[in-house]
Amino acid sequence: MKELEEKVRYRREQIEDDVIGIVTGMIRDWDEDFSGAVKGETQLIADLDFPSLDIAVLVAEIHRFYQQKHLPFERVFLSNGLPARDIQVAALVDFLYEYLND
Amino acid sequence: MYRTLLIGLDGATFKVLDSLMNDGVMPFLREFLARGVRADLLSTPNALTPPAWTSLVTGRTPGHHGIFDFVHAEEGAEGLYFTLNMSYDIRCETIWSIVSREGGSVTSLNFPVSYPPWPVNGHVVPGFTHWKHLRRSVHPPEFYETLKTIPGFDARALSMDMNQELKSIQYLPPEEYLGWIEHHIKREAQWFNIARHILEHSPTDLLAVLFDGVDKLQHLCWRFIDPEIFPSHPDPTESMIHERCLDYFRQLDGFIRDLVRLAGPQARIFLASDHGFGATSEVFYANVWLEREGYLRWTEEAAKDAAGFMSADRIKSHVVGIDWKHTSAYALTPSSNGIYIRRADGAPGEGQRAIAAEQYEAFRRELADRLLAFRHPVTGRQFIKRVMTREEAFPGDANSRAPDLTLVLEDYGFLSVLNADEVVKRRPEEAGTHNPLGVFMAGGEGIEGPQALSQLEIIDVAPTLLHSLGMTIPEDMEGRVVTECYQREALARLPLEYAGAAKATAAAAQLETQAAEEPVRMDEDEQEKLFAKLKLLGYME
Repeated sequence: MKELEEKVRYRREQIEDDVIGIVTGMIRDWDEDFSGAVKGETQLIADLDFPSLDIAVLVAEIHRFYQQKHLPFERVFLSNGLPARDIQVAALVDFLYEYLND
Repeated sequence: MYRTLLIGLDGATFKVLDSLMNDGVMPFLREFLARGVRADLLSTPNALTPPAWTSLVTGRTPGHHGIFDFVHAEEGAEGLYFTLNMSYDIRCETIWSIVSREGGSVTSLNFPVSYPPWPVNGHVVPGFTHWKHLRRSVHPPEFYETLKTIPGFDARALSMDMNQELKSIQYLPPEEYLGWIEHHIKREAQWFNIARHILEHSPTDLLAVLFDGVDKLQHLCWRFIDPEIFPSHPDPTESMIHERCLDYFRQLDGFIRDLVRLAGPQARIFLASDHGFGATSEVFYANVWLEREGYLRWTEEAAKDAAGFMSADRIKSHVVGIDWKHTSAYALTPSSNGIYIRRADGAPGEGQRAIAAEQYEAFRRELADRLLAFRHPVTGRQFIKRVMTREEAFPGDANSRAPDLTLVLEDYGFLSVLNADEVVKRRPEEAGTHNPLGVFMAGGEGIEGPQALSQLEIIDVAPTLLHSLGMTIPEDMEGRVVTECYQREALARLPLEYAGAAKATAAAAQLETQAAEEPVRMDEDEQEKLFAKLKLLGYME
């Protein structure tokens, strides 16, 4: 397992720091008084009130950060063919860990 | 190289502009065209903002640049996934990056499908951006701090709330009209201020700014703007709304005047719209028609449309009302005017109604025939004017996201994707809708005017801009340089340069043909005849 982890290009901890940084940066742009901490268990809709447009922008910012295009984010945002009720930051991190290291 | 200014006027049409110029509402534009060039500009096959502006800035048709709508959706193992079209979804180069690559500087203000911004040599402030995301959307990042120093800069006033825009162009109560128009008057001033600041402090070789309030006002207020429809004896409310619309266009004329003057006498000025405008009075509920023809099934939860409003979130959620297992064709968004066919590709969850590859062509042909055979339930007239396959509407190697069928309705209106109790419903009020013919105008150094050219295509603008900048035109640009708008001496000083032999040969042949023909000039007498004709047609008072 350690040998497998050493082969990955992106460590999970680093991805989590990156995603939290992107989300926090987005919130600070519209709420300069924001002082909460975004964590892995933070939910984009319930905790941060992200409408679908903000989620689309988050996807674009993640693509931009990692210099990627067209990562299959539907695997995170859809569940049984329907829009997911909410998305945890940790779920995004898990998805990126899998696909960035693919 | 000539400093080049492109002013985009979303949805502008000569039907309205000629009336405004003749009535003294846009005196600078009238003066500009008295010395300049004008032509109708044919939009993309589905005359819509994202594909049309992308065609304008790439010189390529949608089948090659890959943008067909504001959003795209992909049907995968998890279901239908919607997302906004981003700049990285454009499958070819834009003039923004071409100019930078060729060593020039460029400014792009308020163009759609510009986020995330390209790392150009210059400035990018994308359009269709919510104020919440504006800082992250700007290039270079530090330019946002510069924007904040512009007197009166207000990110909220500048930016666009898509949900509010989408709602408002469909219906607003009459008492909210003036506020809506005022909002766009203020918003347009924000974009003008940025363009003015750049021209005054850090001018670039190409500055392009898009004023989209024309489109927003025309959607909602068409019946107060169209000279053919506006009553000759309006009531006080109608007069008030009409006058406020004129205020918008008066201000716009002033912005055009000031930007042209700031660009300088040696600059070349181009104005263009992505599509034109016209009236629409009825709604075609495409998914209701598909259901009645057996192609689609609604879920039991699918509510019928009561008011006919569509929001950005409803576009995503309306698909929840479709029973995918029993659906073989569906309309995805109003703006695409498209029908998508569900294909059986072995993916789990596709259901019994997906169409196998060997049946696809016959299925699509039959669906197209049935759409064309549809008759208005009351008048019996043909309601769908044209149905194009993906290959017909959008030939090219980037057309996989295009609809399987694209409809052109008799009034060029947009279809509805919602559930309803009728296939065709009358709108509560006549509204504005897109039309294939937009505008092209040119003036400034080396432009041969006044003249009216034959209809041009929207893909001709990008190569014409690149030529004005003295830059090489990529061989894969499908549009052509509009050489007939230039003086012969100007063309001789700045010959066309293409990156590729094939295009250069074709361009030379075109120039030879032009030299043999009588030049198209319009003197004052001819201008008066044109205005007289426009009056007879009812376009001018």
